[in-house]
Amino acid sequence: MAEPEADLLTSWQLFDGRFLELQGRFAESSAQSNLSEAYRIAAEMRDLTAAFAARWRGAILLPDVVHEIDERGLFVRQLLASVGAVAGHWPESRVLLEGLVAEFTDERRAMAALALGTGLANRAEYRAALPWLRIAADDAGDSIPTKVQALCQMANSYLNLEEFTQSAAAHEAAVALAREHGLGELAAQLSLRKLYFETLRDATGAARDRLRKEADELKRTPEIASSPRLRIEACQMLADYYGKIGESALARDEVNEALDVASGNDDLQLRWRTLQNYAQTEKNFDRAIRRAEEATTVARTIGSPEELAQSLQLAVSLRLDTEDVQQHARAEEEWSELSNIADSETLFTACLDRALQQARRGRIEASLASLEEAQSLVPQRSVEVLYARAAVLMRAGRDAEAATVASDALARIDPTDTRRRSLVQRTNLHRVLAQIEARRGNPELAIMHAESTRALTTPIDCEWADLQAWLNREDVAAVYIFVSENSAACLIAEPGRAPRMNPLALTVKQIAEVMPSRDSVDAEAWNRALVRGIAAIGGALAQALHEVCARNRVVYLFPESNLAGFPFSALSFPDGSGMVDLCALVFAPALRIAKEISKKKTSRGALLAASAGGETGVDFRSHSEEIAALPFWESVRHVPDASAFAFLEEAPAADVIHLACHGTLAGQTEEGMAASEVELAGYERLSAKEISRLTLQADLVFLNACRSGVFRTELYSETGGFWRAFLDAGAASLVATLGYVEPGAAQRLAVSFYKAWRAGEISKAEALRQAQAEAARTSPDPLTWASHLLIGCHR
Amino acid sequence: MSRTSVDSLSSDEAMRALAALFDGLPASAWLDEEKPSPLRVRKLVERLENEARFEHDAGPQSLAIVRALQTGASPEASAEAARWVLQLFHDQPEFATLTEEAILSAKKPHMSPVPPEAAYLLLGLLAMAFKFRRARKSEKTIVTKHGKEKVTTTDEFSFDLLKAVKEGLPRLSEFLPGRITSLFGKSHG
Repeated sequence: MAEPEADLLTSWQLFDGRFLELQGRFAESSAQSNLSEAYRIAAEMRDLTAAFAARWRGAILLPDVVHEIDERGLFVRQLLASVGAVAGHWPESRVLLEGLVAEFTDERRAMAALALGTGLANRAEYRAALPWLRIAADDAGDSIPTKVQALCQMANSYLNLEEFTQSAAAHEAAVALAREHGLGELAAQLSLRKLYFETLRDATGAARDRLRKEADELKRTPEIASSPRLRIEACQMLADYYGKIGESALARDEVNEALDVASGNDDLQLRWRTLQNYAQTEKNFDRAIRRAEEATTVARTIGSPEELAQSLQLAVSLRLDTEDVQQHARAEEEWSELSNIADSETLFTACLDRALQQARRGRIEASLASLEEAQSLVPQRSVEVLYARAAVLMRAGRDAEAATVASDALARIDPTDTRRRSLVQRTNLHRVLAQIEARRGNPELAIMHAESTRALTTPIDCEWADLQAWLNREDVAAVYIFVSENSAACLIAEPGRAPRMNPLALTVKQIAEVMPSRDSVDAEAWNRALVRGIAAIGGALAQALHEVCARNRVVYLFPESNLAGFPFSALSFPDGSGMVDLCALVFAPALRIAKEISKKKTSRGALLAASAGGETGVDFRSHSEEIAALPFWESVRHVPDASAFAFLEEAPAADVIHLACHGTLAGQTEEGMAASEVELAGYERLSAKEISRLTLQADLVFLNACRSGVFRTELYSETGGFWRAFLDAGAASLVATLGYVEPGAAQRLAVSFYKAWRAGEISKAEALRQAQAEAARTSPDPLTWASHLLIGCHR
Repeated sequence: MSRTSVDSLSSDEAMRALAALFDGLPASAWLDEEKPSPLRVRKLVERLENEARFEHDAGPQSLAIVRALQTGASPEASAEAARWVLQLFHDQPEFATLTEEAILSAKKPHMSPVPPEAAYLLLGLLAMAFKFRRARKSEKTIVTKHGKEKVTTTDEFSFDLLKAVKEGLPRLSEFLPGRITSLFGKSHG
């Protein structure tokens, strides 16, 4: 071998040995998610390759050697680009990836495009990410995992753009492809994610029920049970779900399971994500902040600014949520670091948190500046910023500005959009506007906003003048009750008077403290809590309602959902009178809905008297027999031991439907319409969801069963359960119950009601009031008579 | 309360009483003073039942009982097990008043079905009964749901439900009296 050739060989051997050593170390660091180290090694590999190429530039080299050097150069660029994208070198990485996509013609083009698309999506540039992800999916050839990942990332990007149809299509294509090619683990992971995505768009709660059930089942499949990454993901989704429904201990169980899995694994990324999730779902501050700090430490080891920023943002948010000045000082320190490294989405969230904290401490201008900053960071999330701005301005008493800002936000949301996020945003904005306009002395406007919060999914065009005319014609009043974090008010509309606002000395916290817990499974304990609730907050409500109730014979009440289970009929006033002595109460989803229902032509002649549940020891048959025997009906259909089928068959033809049976609000479902149930013959359950599919002509449905008038809903003011089911199905009115009722007392009240209603030519509202007043004279326990309420039309 | 009064509970009343007993147990009766929600008890039972099934450390008869309780397939057997658990709790001085209150509550008629969570709560309370701790180390005042104060000890009132269910669940058939086990056996024929 000639001299230069010998040098070349030696130099090559040295280069090759070092290159392979670095490659091994790179693989090791990547596997441990130590990204800063991996990036450093890749950069060393780049410099090594460049030095070797420079040393031998101009020399006559064998084509194989030239090719090998070029290949290694490309390989190193790929490594740098992919690690750089997640290790805080995005601008350089992006340029490298664009170059690689242009340069490659094979599957490597797809991989580079996937890395580029993923990098953009991770920075919330979803629209920009989509074309690259499409290239990745189209050019992946036989590389099925690349194709599946590209489709999955597309689904995610569409989801974030709220283009749900395209998102679902991309997801389904990914799952099908994974299954077709035997990629069980990937298919299981995709199924999980698809479920989770569905929960984000669904406003009924049904998707969350499915997520809980299927994620639990998926966790037991061999693919997920054997994959730490997937098990952790399943646990995290469940933790998120439990956190949202207030089951923080269950959320912690899931995250603890995830932590167990992560601790047996040296993947830092996995550990970081698990700790981060724990801190996000944990309600106890000490536990949450400890995990957030651990997550920050792990993020520093990983070396990725994205992860570090997310951990810092979470820690800042947790600390700001306390009243502890030391924690605030720590948050300020973390904020300085965060603002230097965070991407715009993370900083946006941090700015919102900071703004709200500043507002809580009276630093209004600083808060507004933080919101300005948030707006400039992510302009497309303007509705969130405007909502926060309106809340801050309201807190500062700058109501005129707050109204303009909230109206601007509302105008930016499509009113026909019925997706969960949109409904929540619209409800919140209408609530804020109702309160602002009430304070500004515009009660008509306030009432129209209050109406909108209650009829979001049942749009009925209606002006204030129409409602006022209807109140005058029917001689009824309406009261809307708003309770927020630190203030409450009643908006009052009476016939022949200008609407007005009455202050109400109540807060959300006070209500939460006294109303029965969702976890209570004992009927008596529930009722006792309700009685305590009447004693604790009844005085404040009575004070706000006394005047309007004393002046009107019929009052429509529209409490927010946290007060929907409160027995208003049990209120007593300082002068010794009781609510049932003064006026009849009626409830409805919204006044415009009650007005619409009142237009229906109804008949009262044909009775369906049904009962079920005799096998449980309550003589329900005698209840329905007694109602059927009342001398008011033109025709009677008596169905004792009614099955669900029989009830659904018979109900459409009836003018008055009386059903005596067991009723409940089931705890095992999050779907509002499925949770309200009655138990019919053979322990068969019939839910409000099934009732809502009926077409009814009934003037009245009397559902004499426990808790038939309470419901589960996710929005502040919308109603659900049997309220919606029977009214949506076409019934004009419903009598239902709030608490656990004693069968004898409930039956006596029903008989007394029918006698008053049918014999006296009086309205249903007045008949129920008379029945309740009569019962109140003989029973000291308000829950034997105040639990019943009339819903829908008062006539 | 005598054995007769527990025996006099109908099947539905026995299950309701059990739910009422669970409802009435104060937070201080649980580990870290954190009372589990009914959903948490249910999840725990489901998870441990599943683990026990795969790990083959539970006798098939125990698993059959758990399954029957979950599906409500043997209401009489479930009610009998509930009566037995109520009596066990009643026999503990700390729980006697609570149990009596729960029985009284269950005897009041209502127009609501037996809560579906009752079967899971029965399993949870069965496991607790299995793990009654008698150590008396530190005194502590607790307030019962009617505001009555009484002195008890932290240790005897602290139940780690996870541990209790884990240990109790696979050995249900050994723990339950033969007459109840055989009731479950009959229904599964």
